[in-house]
This record gives sequence, structure tokens and C-alpha cells, in this order.
Amino acid sequence: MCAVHALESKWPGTVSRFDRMEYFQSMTDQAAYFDIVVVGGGHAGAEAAWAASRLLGDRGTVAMITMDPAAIGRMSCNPAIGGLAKGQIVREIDALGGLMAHAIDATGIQFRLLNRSKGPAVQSPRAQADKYRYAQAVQRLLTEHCPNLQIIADIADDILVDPSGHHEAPAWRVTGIELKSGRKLTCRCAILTTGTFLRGLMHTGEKKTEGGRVGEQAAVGLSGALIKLGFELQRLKTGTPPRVARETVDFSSLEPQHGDVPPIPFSDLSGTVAAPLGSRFPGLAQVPCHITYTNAAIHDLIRANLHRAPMYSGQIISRGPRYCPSIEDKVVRFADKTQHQIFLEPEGLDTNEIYCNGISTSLPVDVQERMVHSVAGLEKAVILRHGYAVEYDFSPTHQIGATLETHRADGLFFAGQLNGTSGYEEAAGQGLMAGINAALKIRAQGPFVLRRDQAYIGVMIDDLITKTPTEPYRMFTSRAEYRLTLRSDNTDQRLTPLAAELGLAEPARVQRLENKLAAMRQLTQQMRALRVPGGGTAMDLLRRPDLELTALPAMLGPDGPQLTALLADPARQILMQQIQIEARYAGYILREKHAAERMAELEDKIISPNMNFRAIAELRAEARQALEKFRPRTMGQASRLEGITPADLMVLTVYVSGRHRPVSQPG
Amino acid sequence: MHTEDTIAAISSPAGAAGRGIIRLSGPMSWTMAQSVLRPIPVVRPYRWLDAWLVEIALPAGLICFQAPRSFTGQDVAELHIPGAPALLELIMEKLLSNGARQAEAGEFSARAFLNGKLDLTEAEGIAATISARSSHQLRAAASLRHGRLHQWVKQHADDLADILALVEAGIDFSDEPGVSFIALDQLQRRIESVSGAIQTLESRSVSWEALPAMPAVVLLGRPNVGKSSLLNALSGTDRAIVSPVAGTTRDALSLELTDASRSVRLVDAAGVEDQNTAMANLMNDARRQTLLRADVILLVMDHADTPVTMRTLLDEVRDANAWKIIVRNKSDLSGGLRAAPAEHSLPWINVAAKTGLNLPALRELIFDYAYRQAPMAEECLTLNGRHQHLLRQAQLALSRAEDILKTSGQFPELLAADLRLALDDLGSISGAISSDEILGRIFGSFCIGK
Repeated sequence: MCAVHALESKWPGTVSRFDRMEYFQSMTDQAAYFDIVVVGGGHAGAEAAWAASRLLGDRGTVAMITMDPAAIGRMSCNPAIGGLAKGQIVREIDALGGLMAHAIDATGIQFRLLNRSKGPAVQSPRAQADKYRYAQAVQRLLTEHCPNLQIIADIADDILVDPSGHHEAPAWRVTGIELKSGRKLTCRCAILTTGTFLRGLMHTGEKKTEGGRVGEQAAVGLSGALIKLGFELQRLKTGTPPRVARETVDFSSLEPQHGDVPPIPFSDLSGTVAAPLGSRFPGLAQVPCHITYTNAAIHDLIRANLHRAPMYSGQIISRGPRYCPSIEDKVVRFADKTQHQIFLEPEGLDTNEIYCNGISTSLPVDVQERMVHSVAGLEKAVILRHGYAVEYDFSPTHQIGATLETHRADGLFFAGQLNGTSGYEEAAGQGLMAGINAALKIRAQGPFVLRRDQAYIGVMIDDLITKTPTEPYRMFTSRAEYRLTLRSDNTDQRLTPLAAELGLAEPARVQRLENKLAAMRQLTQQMRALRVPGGGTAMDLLRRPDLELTALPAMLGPDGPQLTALLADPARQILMQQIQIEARYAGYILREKHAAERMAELEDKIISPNMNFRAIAELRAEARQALEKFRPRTMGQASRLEGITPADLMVLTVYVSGRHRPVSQPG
Repeated sequence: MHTEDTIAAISSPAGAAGRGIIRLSGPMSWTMAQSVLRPIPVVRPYRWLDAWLVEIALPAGLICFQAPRSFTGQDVAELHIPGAPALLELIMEKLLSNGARQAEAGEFSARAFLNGKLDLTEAEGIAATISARSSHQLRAAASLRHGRLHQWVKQHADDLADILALVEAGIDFSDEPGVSFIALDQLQRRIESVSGAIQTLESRSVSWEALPAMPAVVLLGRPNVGKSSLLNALSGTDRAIVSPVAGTTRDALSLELTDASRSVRLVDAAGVEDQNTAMANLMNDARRQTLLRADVILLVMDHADTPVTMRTLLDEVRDANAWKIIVRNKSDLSGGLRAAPAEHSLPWINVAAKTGLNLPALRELIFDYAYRQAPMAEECLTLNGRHQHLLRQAQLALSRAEDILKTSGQFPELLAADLRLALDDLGSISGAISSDEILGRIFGSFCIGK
């Protein structure tokens, strides 16, 4: 079958990009050496390639291996970016100079700020995407802004290594990637971002199909290569709901859900000339989602067919995410509920696909048909693609360190679902960090690690390397002990200076931050100068949790009009809100800061990568095993391992220091 | 381990002694030691400084050591105060609330090592010591004494974790269907209930020294009845100063007795003095505290005891929730009681410390009773300074949470922050509850997810 037709039938509306496909193909030329090879073009792979390529610039080369260049940046599950805690990650990626926020701002079709009724620390942006245009946007960013990146349409089949010569970890050093076509790429670093493709197995009822996504083949060779190198692999499971045809849905009786007016972008650069995909925000027309519900008849139907559901028939034994249960799970576990909500989310402006968010399922096709047709509004809906569950290999995360480089193989990095996470944002955050660290390694610079008090990305990676996930790992705000510090409104203040130091932040981004900080300082001074009759300043009023900004001018008396004038400017109003957040949270933020400082002391104590934990006889067996397994690189990481007591840490301290500190004579 | 904060620990032997020492190490050690003294002494390093304890009119001494010329290589302060356990704990509690941190086992030595004060061989010895002590503490944590406090705190930590899960569910899943945030008044009631329980625990409990790692066996009897001789004979050491002069056990004593796998602590309750001095009052108070905290009380009598002196002894231990054993010492001498009067059902054993008569049987009896479930009243738990400090901190955090609820229900993230702090404090006693566990509770009770 002709490639164009294959593409057309799988992904309607993409043929207009065939010229770009050809461009990709033309780039898969003869070069055999790359500094960094990224395996996979999903959300982790795209971010890794972007960061690595931009950090290396004209001093290095990057290759991306993907089965299908047109699938780069594809949204395999729900057509949305952000959400609670995940939205903060996207904002962090942006503040660090990543690409995800640019792509969603250019292709979002509904933007909403979640948790508006709660405090600012737990508010998160979320957007529905036109998923085809989103993937195109990612592809445009990679092809138009990364001249040193080559995209190679092939399948990675083997990881080439040399023995490292080290006694302890790492045992190997990466030298290249062998492709299915027989071609060998030599490289110094390889970043694996294989998503659900490693021995992917899809289930729909009794039917099993090998593959990472519908219509896409699985990667089998790479699992074997990893096992050969001594890596341990385990299985996880995730699922996706059916998609229905828009023109067959009766929306008339359904409740619409609209986005915010005006929409708020993810990227600090959106709406400015520095935005890489154009200065218009939002880039696309805004559309609503619709809400409908399951009902008792559907629940009965599901109960009657449970024996045909792979999760219940024993066909799937891998763990799925508890926070994203299939509809069969919901019906079994919450038997007393008579209905569950379904969000009908458009997958794009031009496509007729509607994503039925809330009924992820792996029931057989005939049950899915009956189920969907019993939903209000979907009585005549045509199912375009049935739901399925997918099982895939993941690498238990005690095998990687804080830079996402593996302990076993020098130069080999893992990012995204391969590390047992779920979600585009989680994957992208890891991809970015792996890309940065691989590039730093090529540049012979020290690692870039975000602490738990610096970013959700830091929390996520630290969680991974101190505890192996037993279900797909998703970010929640409650995972962050410094939640009041890690807000969506201050990602630029937290991270852009770090990105500037790395050389990943665009000049416009750095300039914007400087302007913002100067404006906030000035505004704070002005607020301190405005007097409240009877004592205090406008700043004191700002702290009070019971007062809204709009109520303040009236309380100021003679100085009131000055404040009204200040608040008249929308840009200044946003800054004022941020000053207010900091003022209201002040006591709590200070406490988080003190806790973080105490923790930082431990993070600064480095444990040698060659440490032989087995040889420390005074450690309890349980502690020795945990340390040996996770190989922490700082005392901080060691302190967060399960089964490590303060006494173990003290014993470890003695040994860690004993080898690096000259011991003076007593007395 | 952290090395930049200031740690404190009672460093004199556990139990009642004439003099108690609290040692501090770290940048704030001098200031913190000064904070419990009046008038505040002007520090002159390496000199003995006389002072009085704040609020309690008792003499105390302070010696300050300057970094790096100290045991740990940091600024060190040693507070010398009368050795009553209750007093030592009171002062410890003050130091902890002034920002000192209770030292972990072996932490002073670890700091000494890190500051180059010990060589590698010594350090390896220290690692071994830390390891041994910690396994001892782990055993102790599993023992009856800690077991029940642990149980109690765990139950309330559990309640608190449920409350936190409800609040967190409202934060992390509010945009999803089926998650109803708990009603504010209900939330308030549940927080109050945990806070009230902590208060009850605090008010009903007796305090305990910092290192009550093993069951305590207290020897009680008239002066010169041979308690020190018994102590020495049982342990085979010459630790107690034995003399025929009554009251020589003033500076005694507690020592460890071990059999194949178990340990108990033998404590000689300080002799009673009639003088009505501050020190004597303190000693008597110490003795009462010691008895209250005993797991086993040995009522030691000799040939000079009568049914009347026996009743005096029994009266004194009437309130103690401990096993009681009557030990008739000097049974090689004639006279006195040979068996319990009919109205008493307490175990009775005749021994002679001097000749060793029946001592193996006494040892066996001690271990037997020390490791039985104590006949204690349910609500009476023993707390050490660290426990008290943690409970108080938890209560403070809970009252802040209640304040947030009263002023506004708008800031669940602040509410969660305070609940989390309280939970961490309780968790330091009964085992930490991770954010993963909170999420598990949410997933277990709500239909989350699209």
C-alpha cells in the first residue's frame, strides 16, 4: 500500500503534511555518528530531542529514531494537556525552555483554569487540543527550530555497548543503536522514550493484538536488548476509551462545558512575537465539550459481561492506574453509584472524532457497542475506534538516577512511560530532563537535577528514583511537600534563571522575567506607601484572606483612587495577584523554605557512584539491600528510601565521609 | 545526617542520680543552654559557670566548649543540673521547644567524626555502636512500653490521615465527579476529636527518661536493707557503692541485666531523706516518678523488717502500675518475716546477696515478670520528652487548622499543610504516613478518574 494512502486512512487530514514527510525522509541520510540518539518521538522523545538539540547547537548532533515521523507528538489517549498538578509541569517545562507549552498554546481549542475556587497554589491550567494540529506543531518545532536534529524513520532494535571497566556500577558504556534496517548509529548518549511500545499488547475483550497503539507495531527487539544488558523489566497496563463520530452524536440534550474567557496560555511567551509558532493566542477557534452519563442499564450490562473483560478474566495481570479506572472497574468497585460522568471531548476542529472521557474499557467490541448506544446522546453514535487496554514493559525505576541515566549503562537514559509514569506531561518533563542531562554530559558539564522544593518535575523524578511505581505514576499536588512554593504562577521565577544558566532559555524569556521582577518590586513599594486610615498600609490589607483585590480601594480612604489607578492596568493586576498570593502564604512558604534548607544540606552530601554498599557491615541487611538496589547519589535520596532509619543514615555518613575527608589526629 | 542544627540529649545515665547532664552541640548550643538559665551567664569557654534554672529555683552549672576545641568539633554546651529524671526532661522539653533537636543515637560521635575529631578506626567503632544502639531501640520500640503508645498514636494518626485524604481529595480531584469535599462542620468536629484525644493523653500520662529502652525493675526498701549488694550480686559488677552506712546509694544507680536474649534495667530507688531541703524534695519526687514508671518493683526486706515496715513499703507502691515481688534479703540471718502474711498474695522469694543463695531463681523471676504484659491502667502511657514535644507540636498544628476552618473554608491547601504537619509529628512516634498512602485512601474511598 502506498504510504500516502496508509497515512490518509489512519489519520484523516494529515496528508497535507506529506511534503514534510518527504523532508523527514530526505534527512534520513548517511550520517552514522550522533552525539545523542533519542529513541521514540512521543512527548518524552520530542522534548528530549528539542532540549538536547538546542543545548548542543552547532557543536553537536542529535538523531531521533521513530517508526513513523508523522506520529511524532501524537496524543494516543485523551486530547488534552495539563490538568491538576500536570498543568504546573507544563508551565515548568515552559519556564525551562521546553516545547510542550508552545505546541498546546498554538493548537488548544478550549482553555480552563482548574480549581479556581481554591487557593492559587493548587490551581492548574488545562486545555483541550486539536490533536492533529498538536502533533503537527510539535513536528514543526522540531524541524524548523532544531537544525542539528535528524529524524530517522526506523525501529531501534539493539543497544550497542562496551564494558565500562568499572568495578561497581555502571557495567556498560553505550556506543550506539542498531536499527531494524540493519543500519548502525554510533553515539555517546542514547535516550530511550519507548512509551507503551516495548512488547506492547493490546486487549479488546478476548482479542489480543501486538502493538504500542492502534495500527502501530510493537517494539520487541529493544526489550530483549535491555534484558541482555541485565535490566529488569516489569509490566504495566493502561487503557483508553472508545471514540465516536461527531455527526452521529445528539448534543441537543447534553450539557455543554465552555472554556475560560479570556483563555490563559501555558507559555510565558505566547501572545508575544517571541512565541515560536506565531504570536496569535489562542491560535485556534474555541469550542465546548459536552457532559453525559452512564446509567443503571449500562452498569448491568457491564456486570453481565465482566467475564469477558481482560482485567477480570485473568487475561491481564499487570497493574493499571487506580486514579484512571476503566468503566468496568468503576462499576465493580463503586457498585452503589448509579451513574458515572462522561466528557465528550472533540479531538480537533476538523476531525469528526469525539473522545469519550470516563469510559476507558477493554470489554469486547459487541459490549462496547451496546454500552455506548445506551448513553444519553450517543444512542445512534458510530464508534470510530473501540476502547482497549494495553500492556507494556517498563523499567523499574531503581535502575535510573536523578539525571535519568541508568546505573547499569553509562550514557543510556530512560524517560517517560518506560519509567512507569503515565501522562503526556509527566513524560515530557522527564524527556526534557533527560535531554538536558545527555547534552550536559556531551558538553562535559555537571548534571542538572531539580530538587523537590524547586519543581514538580523534581518531585516526580525523586519519587521515581526512591520508590519503584507499582501502578502508572501520575503527578498529584499532594505528592509535593512544598506545594505552596511550587505554584503555576511562579514557574518563571523558580526555573527560568536555571534555564538561562544552562543556555536553554530564550533571551525574550529572560528579559520578560527581569521586567516582571522589577515591576513586582515597584508595585510592592507602591502598596507599602498607600496608607489605611487608622494605621497600616495597603500591603497589610493584601495579606488578609477575607479581602478581594477589588474591595481594597474602598478601604483606603484618601489613598483609594491611587490604588484604583494601579489596578486599572490588567498586566499590573496580574502582578498584584501574585504579590497577594505571596503575602497570604508568607508564613507557610517560610516554613517550607526552612524545611527545604534542612533537606538541601543532605542533598549536598554526595555518595560516590562506585560506592560498595554491600561492604558496610554495620548497616542492617534491609538498609543495605535498599541502598544497593536504588544506588542513591546523595544522602538526601538515601534518606527517602523505604526501610532506611536515621541510624542507617548516620552509619552511611561515616562511610561516605570517611573516604573523602582527610582525618586529622584526635585531640 | 544534618550537622548544621543544634542537637541535645541527656547524657548522664538514665535513672535517678545526684547530677544530670544535658549536652548540646551545634551553632546555637550556647544560646540554647543560656536560655534555660537565670541570670543568663556570660559565656567564658572551658570555665564552670554557676547559675540557676529558669522558673525553678535550683542550682545549675554550665560549661561551654568552643569549636573546634570540643568533643564534636562544634560549639558544645554542657548543662549540669540535679539528676531527677522529671527535671532533666523538663529542661530537655524547654530546649526542644527553643529549637534544639533531640539527638539520634550516636549523633554526637558522628559529628565528632565528621569534624575530624576521631580517626577512621574509632569511627568504625562508632558505626558499630550506632548500629547496635539502633537495633536496641528498634527492639525497644516493639516492647510493651512503647508498643501501647505506638498503638494509641497510630490510631489517631490514622484518623488524621483519613481527614487529610478527604481534604486532599477535594484539592486533587475536585474537578471530577463523585468527589464530595467533606462538609466544613464535620471536618471541624473530626479535627477537634483528634486534638482532644492528644490533650487527654498528655494530661494522663507520666513522663519517662529519654532512653527507656528496656523494662525497668526498681528496687525499693529501707536504707541499708542491701539493695546495692543485691544489684551488684545480680549483675556481677561492682558498680554500686556498697557500704554499711545508710544512704550511700544517693548517687546510684541503674544498670543493665541481660540473660540470653533479653535485657532489663535495674534501678535503685534513691533513699528517702527526712530533711526538708529542696534537694531532698527533688529526690523524693524522683523516687515517686521512678516507681510510677517501673515495670517490676522488688520490695526488698531483711531480718529487721516487721509487718509494719512492710505495710509502709506496700503503701508507697500502691499506685504503681507494676508487678511487685517481695525479696527477703539476708535470709541467712535469723529474724524478720519468712513468708508473706496471708492477706498478701504477692510473689515472695528468700535470697542472700552475700552468699548468692537463690539469686539465679530471682533473676529468672525478674525476667519472667518484666516481659509479661504490665498490669497497667489503659489510659496511662509513658512519654519521654521527645514524645511530649511531638504531641504538643501536633496539637499546635491542629489548632491552626481549626483557625483556618473558622475564618474561611477557602484555603484547603493551607488546611492540608497544617494537617500534614500534625500527621508528620504523630508519624514520628508511630511510623510515617506517606503521601502515597494518603492517595491510596482517596482511591480506596472515592470513584476517581475519567
